[in-house]
Amino acid sequence: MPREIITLQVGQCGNQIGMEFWKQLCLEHGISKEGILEDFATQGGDRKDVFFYQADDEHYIPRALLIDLEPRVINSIQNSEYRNLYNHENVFVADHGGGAGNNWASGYHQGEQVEEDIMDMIDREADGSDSLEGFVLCHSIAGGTGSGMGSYLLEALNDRYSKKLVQTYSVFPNQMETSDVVVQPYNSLLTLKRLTLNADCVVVLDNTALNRIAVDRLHIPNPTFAQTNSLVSTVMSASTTTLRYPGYMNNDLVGLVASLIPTPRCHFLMTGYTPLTVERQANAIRKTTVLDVMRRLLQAKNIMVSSYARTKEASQAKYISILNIIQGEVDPTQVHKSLQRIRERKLANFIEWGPASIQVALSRKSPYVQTAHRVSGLMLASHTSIRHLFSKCISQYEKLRKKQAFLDNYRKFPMFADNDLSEFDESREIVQNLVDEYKACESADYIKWGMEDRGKAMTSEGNVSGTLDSRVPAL
Amino acid sequence: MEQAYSEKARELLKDLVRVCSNSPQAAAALIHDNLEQLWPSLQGASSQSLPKLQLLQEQRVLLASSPHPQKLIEKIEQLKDAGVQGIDKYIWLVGQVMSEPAVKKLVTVVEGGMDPSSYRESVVAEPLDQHAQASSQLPNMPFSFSDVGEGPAKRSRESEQMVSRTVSVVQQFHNFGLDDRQSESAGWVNSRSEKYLDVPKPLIEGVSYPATPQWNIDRPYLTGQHLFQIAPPIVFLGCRHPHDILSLCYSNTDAIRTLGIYTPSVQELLVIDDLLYAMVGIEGKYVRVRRGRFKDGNTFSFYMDPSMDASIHELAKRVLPLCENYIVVSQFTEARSHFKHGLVNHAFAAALRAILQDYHAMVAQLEHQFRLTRLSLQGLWFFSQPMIAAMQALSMCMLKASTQNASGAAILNLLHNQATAMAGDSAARALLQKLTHAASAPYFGILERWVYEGVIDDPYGEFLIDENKSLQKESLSQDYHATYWQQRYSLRRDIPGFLASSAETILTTGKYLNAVRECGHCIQIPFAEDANQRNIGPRRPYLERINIAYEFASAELLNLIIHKFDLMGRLRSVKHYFFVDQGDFLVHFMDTARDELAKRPSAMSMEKLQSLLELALRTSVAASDPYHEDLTCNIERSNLLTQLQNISQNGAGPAHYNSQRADSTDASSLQGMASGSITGLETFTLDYKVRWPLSLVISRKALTKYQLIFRHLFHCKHVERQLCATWQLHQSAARSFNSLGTAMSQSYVLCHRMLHFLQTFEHYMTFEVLEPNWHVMHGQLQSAKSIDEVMQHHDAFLDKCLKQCMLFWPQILKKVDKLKSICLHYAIATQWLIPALFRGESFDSQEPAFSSKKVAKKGYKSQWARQAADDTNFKTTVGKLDEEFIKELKSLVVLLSNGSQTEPYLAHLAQGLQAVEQAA
Repeated sequence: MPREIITLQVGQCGNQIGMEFWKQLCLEHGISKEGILEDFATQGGDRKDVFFYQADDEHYIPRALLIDLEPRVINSIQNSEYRNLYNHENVFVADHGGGAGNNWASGYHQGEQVEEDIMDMIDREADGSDSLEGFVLCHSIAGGTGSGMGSYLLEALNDRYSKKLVQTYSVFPNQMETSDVVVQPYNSLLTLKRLTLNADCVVVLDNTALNRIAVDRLHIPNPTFAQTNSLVSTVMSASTTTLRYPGYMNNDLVGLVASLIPTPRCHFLMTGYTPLTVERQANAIRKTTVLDVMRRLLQAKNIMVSSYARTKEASQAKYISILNIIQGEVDPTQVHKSLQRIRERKLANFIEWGPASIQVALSRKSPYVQTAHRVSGLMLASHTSIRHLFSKCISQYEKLRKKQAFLDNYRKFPMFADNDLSEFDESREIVQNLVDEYKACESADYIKWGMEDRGKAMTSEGNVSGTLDSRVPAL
Repeated sequence: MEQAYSEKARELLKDLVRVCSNSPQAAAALIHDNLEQLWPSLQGASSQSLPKLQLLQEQRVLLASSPHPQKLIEKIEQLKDAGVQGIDKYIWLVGQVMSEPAVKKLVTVVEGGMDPSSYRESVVAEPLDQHAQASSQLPNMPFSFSDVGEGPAKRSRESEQMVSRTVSVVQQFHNFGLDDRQSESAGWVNSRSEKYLDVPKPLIEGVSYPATPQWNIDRPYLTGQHLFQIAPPIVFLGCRHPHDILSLCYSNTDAIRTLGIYTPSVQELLVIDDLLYAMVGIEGKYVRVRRGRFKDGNTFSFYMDPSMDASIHELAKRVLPLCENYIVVSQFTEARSHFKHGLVNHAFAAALRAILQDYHAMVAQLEHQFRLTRLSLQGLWFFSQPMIAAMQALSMCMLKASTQNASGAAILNLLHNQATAMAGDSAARALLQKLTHAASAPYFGILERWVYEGVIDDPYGEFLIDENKSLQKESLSQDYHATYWQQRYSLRRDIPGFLASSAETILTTGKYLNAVRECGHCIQIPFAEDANQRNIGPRRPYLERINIAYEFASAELLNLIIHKFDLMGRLRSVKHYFFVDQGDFLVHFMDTARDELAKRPSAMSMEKLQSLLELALRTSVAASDPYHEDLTCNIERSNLLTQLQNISQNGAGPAHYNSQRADSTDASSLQGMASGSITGLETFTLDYKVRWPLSLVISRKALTKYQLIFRHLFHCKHVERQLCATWQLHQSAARSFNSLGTAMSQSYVLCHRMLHFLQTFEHYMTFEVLEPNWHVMHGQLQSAKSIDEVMQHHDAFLDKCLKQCMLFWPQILKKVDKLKSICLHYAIATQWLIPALFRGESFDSQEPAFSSKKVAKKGYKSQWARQAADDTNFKTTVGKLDEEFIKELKSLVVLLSNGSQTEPYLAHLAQGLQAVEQAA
């Protein structure tokens, strides 16, 4: 009875990164494109059953649900080499195939309408596993399907599987270039509310930063989606290695995430990965040691989230927690030395109210994937600077909201019917609270924070208020 | 009753003494002089297997005369049931004694002198000991005899013989007897008779050997034995020995005329004739033997008629030492050919016999010359020169050997040393070296079998290695204190000097081969041929061969264990489970066995746990481990701390490791129950089936150490899981409202801190202790040359792990334990309190909310939740635990930093925990 994890990939972006993720997993576990275990991979010592299950004919099927409101991406998957990998019953494409039109409200509304179908699929998968650990949702927060329908699914999952973990890999839009989706700030804000309230752990994949890394670090002038997606799949597979290659610690998702997330709401994680390579791009092979890897992971340029902080604020930004997953041939004695060096050099600035140290998980590397580097590392970190990303979302939203632009598209749907835009206000309030909480984390007296202005906080909440979903708290 | 018997026995003794003779000493001396003859007959009789019919008859006689026939039968049956071997023999003996009234009497006398009550005691105390039992059989007899009564003592020769025979029976019992008081009272009997008799005292306890044939002892003139006797034995007065007849003839017919009456030339001829006899140990008319004690340690010496011509006397006197030496050597040769002296002595005696053969040939040649009237006394002296030196050297050795009663290695050492001491005398040295070589041949034979085959073929216990058959190899995997490897084969004290330097090598060589043999593996000895290079010369080629054999054996065993039995794979497998190096199986197991483990140890079902464990193993990565089926589970009775205390206090292992379930009547388990809420989580442990020969390395002791580490880790994992559960509760309960500034935030900060503490601790144990040490050990094992080295590295590795995991630091361990219990306390408290706090809210939310009031309603609820989260009760609970946790943590860090001055590895953990502590 492994701790199974069910993956939901929603929308265009979600399906694309999902597909890359499964490609990567198949490679690492020696599973062919048809789902058959390769001959060389029979003596693995790896756990495939966390993410796969075996059909009657022994071929491996991903525990994945492919959900979209338009058929384009899913069709391309079903026409690709991997078409036989997935369980076709787990593919959901809306009948009309019209998509959500980049409208969060449309996605959310359609999600509500097809809830029964999708929950059936989820239930079937959940019943097929012995001890379900949780769900992973892949989506983007800018579009319509991933954000809107994703949001709806988050609420629904929270409602139905209140004791299961929900982790998301959420792609944040590229904010350096003008988006073709003008209502992106609305969508982002509304999704952020659900990510805050209904997910246990959000791995933030910032398209801006991914692009920057592709351009600066990998020297690709105009990175394609496929190229940035391969970065994403690397991060996704690396962050699950401790589950797939069991070691001394962190053999379940809870154990992995619990130490990273001290407070329930501050569950947005940044990632960093080194050494980065994109396919057929093994240009600069470096000497990799544990210290090298850990040091590089702390450098901002390797972090896959852009910081929009001004310098003054950036200096105050602190790590809440860091977990480094080091893969490859590692001499365990090196780990301690590296940590000591980093501590001496004060390379990482930690919060003052919580335990301040880098945690390290050593993990095996897949024997079937040849990499040029001996050691590679993934950092999962909770960092207070991420609040600037949310602040940016709020400010962009404010700009649009002030102009009352594009609101008509939303009013068409029940949630915003009768010009009831309280959902926007509520979301804004919650995201603002989140930003405040991250800010509170930077101060030494986090525990006391908010106590003195409690009365004020209560009255303000009385006016604007947080929200409560309808689910019953876990007993 | 007993008192009465003993009283009676004493009276009888006095009676007999009075009747027997005026002086008891004289009577006893008489008896002992007869022992010589009687002894072998007894020996022979008792070692034969007796006809059953005769036995039954004896038994009947015995029963008839016993006052307590019922008791006697019971005793005999009891002894037979217990498997005492010699019981038939003793019944026969006792029966014999019974049927001879005179003997009965004497036995009564001898026994009466002792305290019969002591025998009674020994009957009760050592009912199973054969020898003690044998002697304890005796007291039955005097008592029964006394009932039968005594006839008047007859002083006939016959009865004397019978009496002495019985005394020798008693004597035998005393030799076997273990009771001090017995041997004390019979001490004088012992010490005197031993001089005349080769009392078969076993050289090595428990080694049996065939008895010397009776005729060999019967005829002292055949073996030269007679010369060693102080007085001519009375028994043999009737004996018709030719020499006796001769001497009788001399004394009867014409008395020996002194030599002085002849002319010197006639004197010379007569003396040469007599000397030639004396040279082969026969006393003549003019060369006589004088018995007594002489300064060179002999009990006899030759002397000559003093009346002969002075010059002849002086010349002839020089030859006399040769005669004396010859007798010593030949007697020694005879005596040492007896079975009991062992192979080395046999070989030695055989070599001596060859020399004596030459000597006899020489004497025969001299006699021939004498018959041809070509031999003068000068000539005799001249021709016997080389033999005089050789016999002198030999007899010196013999004397030393006899006084030391040397056998086996001691003889070899003696010869070797003697040869070295005589380095100046090349002839004597060569002779002694030749003898040493011959004597060591059987020794080398044993050595070869041991070194080439790992078998001890040593019937007389002479070899330098002792085998303790009571140690079984199975004990390795069961007994914490198993000493199979250390003590199954051990070095004796007597080691031949020329092997002393490589004794350890020899021991290990055979041990390795033996281990290989025990694995059922056929060993091919590539160099068993060419076995005649056994010179104990300065080059010592055999040492080189031993070294070669050692290297071969060592390589063979190592190869067998590492490759055929896949030691590394086993160790890796053990590591997977006991160090939880692939932890997924444990996650599954703890998931499924949660309810079972939460029970008290006595309520747990081993079968259920075992099946759950197997299920977990099958569905995890461990399934690909070929050895996963050898993993079993077990429940200890005490928690880790108590067990460690036991181990450190009395060095005792878990005495109860193989008791599958806690025995509720056992005191320690009662204590465990009383000491608090011990659940399966504290007492659960894994076990691993290890088979020979891997049990050499992964012995019970090693496995216990693995278990200690596992239990430590297991409990940490359990606490971590509980904290994770609390974390999940926080996630789902507190995410929905802004909990900033409430008691809730305090709670999750504490939770985070605890989690961090545990993970730091686990990280330290696994990545900084177990893993690096494992790597070091792995490397060492790859380059290990012998299995001893492997065992040493493995043991060192485990000890290092235990030490660095601080399992030997009760102070630190207690602190860690305390911290863990605070964590558990917190986890349990929050898992009760948090749902209770928000219960009201869930009730509210079930009411249908009107959309118009939605906002207000939500606002109210959020406010309500905040209030609930700030519950004072909850706040104080968390606050209190927080305080306590920080306090304990601080003192732990202080302890660690203090300890790190002597044990640097503690600094690593101290640093890690400081980070947690500083945040507070």
